[in-house]
Amino acid sequence: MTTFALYAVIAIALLFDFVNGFHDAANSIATVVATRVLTPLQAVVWAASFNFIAFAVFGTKVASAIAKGVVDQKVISIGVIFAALMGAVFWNVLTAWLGLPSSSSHALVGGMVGAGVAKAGGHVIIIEGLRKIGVFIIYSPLVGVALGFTLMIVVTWLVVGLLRPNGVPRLLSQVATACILGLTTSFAGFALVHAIRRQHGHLNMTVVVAVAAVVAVVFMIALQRLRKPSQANKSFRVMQLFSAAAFSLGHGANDAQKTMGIILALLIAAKKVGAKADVPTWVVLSAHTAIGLGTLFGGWRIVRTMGTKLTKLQPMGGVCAETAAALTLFFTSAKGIPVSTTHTITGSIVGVGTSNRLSAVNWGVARRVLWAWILTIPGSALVAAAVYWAVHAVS
Amino acid sequence: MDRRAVFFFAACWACRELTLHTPKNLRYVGVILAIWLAILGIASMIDNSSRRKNRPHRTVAPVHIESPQDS
Repeated sequence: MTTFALYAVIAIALLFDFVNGFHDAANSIATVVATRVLTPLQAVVWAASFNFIAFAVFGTKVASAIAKGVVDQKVISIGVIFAALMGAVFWNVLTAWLGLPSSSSHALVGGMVGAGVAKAGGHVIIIEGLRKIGVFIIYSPLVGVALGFTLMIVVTWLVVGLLRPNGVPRLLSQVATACILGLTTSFAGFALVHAIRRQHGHLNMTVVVAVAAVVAVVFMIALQRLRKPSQANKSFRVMQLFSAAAFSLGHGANDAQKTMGIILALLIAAKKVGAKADVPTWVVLSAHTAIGLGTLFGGWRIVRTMGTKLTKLQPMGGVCAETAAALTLFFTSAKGIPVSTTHTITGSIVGVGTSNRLSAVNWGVARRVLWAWILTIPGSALVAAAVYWAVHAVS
Repeated sequence: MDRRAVFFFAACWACRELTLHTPKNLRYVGVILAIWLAILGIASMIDNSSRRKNRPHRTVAPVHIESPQDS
């Protein structure tokens, strides 16, 4: 395996990551643009920053799952990875042309399976790893639906209670909202500090709860002023900044790690690192930089279109959908499960829409996602196998 | 039956079926999700029936047919 070919394929993998950021930026910031909280450019910079910061917060379990959990490492070569990447790229272009919402993540997994099988036969597939990815293709949007629906109902109840005239329901809503916000912000703050310092072990819950109580009192005082629906709407516009940031963090964590996994597999095959090695820091940084730059350079064009299409979107629904999707991505990233960020946010939006009524959801989109579920892995596997055979025949 | 509840029950059934194929260390995700979706389905059914009960009965305004004497 020549060093030039190795670095050329690494460059293609980083380009794939760049295109992923370019394409998926709209998912995380369309709602912020639609509700005019930020301009498209500001929103893209905001999302790109959090895509990059994700490297400090999450580990590299998803990368390891891609590198070591899909195809037997013994068959991985530069040709296999090249064919896998080409298969994924070709499939993404084809589905974009056909109007199917393709998942880059699943296309990449399918590509690796197809190229691996083309090289050495079906026995190279790691069934357990593929089963984990396969079931979460369905679980992740369903978790999004359930979380989005539940969050929307809870938040609606709280807001309705907060906007009532003085009385017990208003006081109860104030206390509940202040407690939830206090706990969430302090827990998130502590977890972030822990992750950045790379400290392992549990958070000191006594300190977290003590800080949460202080933050809750501050929120309680702020909530006393809330009287009109327009004030509530304004609060949700501000909260959208945080939910979009959380979703971008999850997107950076899960999607950038897939490219890291591909590069790690290549480095192991080239014997540049050991078989049990963790992802090198330069790979982590370059993957997050590529996805962040992709978001920064390409996203604003897509966001501008999405922003104008989604003018009817309410800030409260946007906050709930993004928070639900972000929580799903945090969980899957922590457990080392590669999932599609597009499918996750689609599921969350369906959940939020369903809380109103079933017909509020554009079921055409949901049907197209279902087709993408069924077709992506076999389709990209076939393309990757064809590319591998073509490259093999030529060389 | 409420269409939204049917959607949640169908998703719950899908999760239950999928749990059998999930790796053992992650099986709890499917179980929790199935229970959660079932609860949402039941809540949706209750919501739908309470909305039906509270919906005001439509009353048809009496149509006055003019008789030849009126005119």
